Amino acid sequence: MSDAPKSKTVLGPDCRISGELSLDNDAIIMGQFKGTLRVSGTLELSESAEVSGTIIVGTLRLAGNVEADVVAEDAVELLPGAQLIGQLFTSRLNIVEGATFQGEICVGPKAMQAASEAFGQGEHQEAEQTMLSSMMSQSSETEETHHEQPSPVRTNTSSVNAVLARRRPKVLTPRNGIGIPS
Amino acid sequence: MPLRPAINTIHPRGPQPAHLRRVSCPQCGKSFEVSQRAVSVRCPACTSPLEFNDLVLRTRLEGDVSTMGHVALASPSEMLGRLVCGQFTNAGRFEGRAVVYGQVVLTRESLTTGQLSGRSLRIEHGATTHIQAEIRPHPPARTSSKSSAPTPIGRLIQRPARRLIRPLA
Repeated sequence: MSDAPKSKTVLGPDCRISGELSLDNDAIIMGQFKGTLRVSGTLELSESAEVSGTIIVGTLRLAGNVEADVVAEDAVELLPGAQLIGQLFTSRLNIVEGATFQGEICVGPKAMQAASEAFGQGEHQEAEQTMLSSMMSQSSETEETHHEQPSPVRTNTSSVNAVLARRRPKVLTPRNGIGIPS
Repeated sequence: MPLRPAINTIHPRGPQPAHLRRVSCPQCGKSFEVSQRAVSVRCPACTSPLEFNDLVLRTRLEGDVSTMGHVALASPSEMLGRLVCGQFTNAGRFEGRAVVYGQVVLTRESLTTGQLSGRSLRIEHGATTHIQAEIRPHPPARTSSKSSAPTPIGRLIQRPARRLIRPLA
């Protein structure tokens, strides 16, 4: 019996994304990304990749340019030609000759704790709540006024689910006495 | 009396060094290879004299060390101070500022705090590291000294150390 092949998300070199992106598998990024990037598996950033913001991954293999704070639970490897500027929290690190790194390195059993302290979990949750409420208001405005310009794409499955969960009771609430019985 | 054979007949190209070490000149940044057994050499580009002293520290050392050789901290050893060397392997405890013109290896039992600049870096699983690091392929070349005469680089120096960085919380 062979295991099912693990899926891998690939973002090509023409791809430009800004915002928050969460992936529950391995990923390869060849384009530009700005914002918060969460990958539960292995993230490979190719030579053409340019990432800025925050990266939270299991394992990172970097060959491109990154100006971000990186939290990698398992390992980080910087390949020749890679450039990383920022804070780095991991348990295993390999920077080969030809790669460039500039910043703070925190490695060890308390690295993840230091990362959570550095990024501030409470602040992050607050920020996520703020983002959710702003998305809620945007979606309600869009329903009412039909804006011509579309809102920027945000691909965050957990946040989308949360928004949908909040919207459902709102939609099902009776308006002016007329509503859909639950 | 039989004649001794010329060395060229035994080694057509001459004796080749068994092991080479890659060196980057701290003065001009020129990278070149020398024999592992070489004690001193002059840079082929800028003629700066370089000395190689391979060290293994097994006890506590508080002070500055400067050599273009390989510095290794053995498991129970401890070093506080500034370190300039060609290669650095830490299996003990290091606290201070390290300028390494080659590879840096922090083994799984090591504890490293402070500032580090090097050419490549490997941190093994289990190592504890909290450093401000700068890893780049070409180390910054030193600015030319005021005096025209080249100053010897890599001489083993030991000076009393200052506490450069705060300890880990």
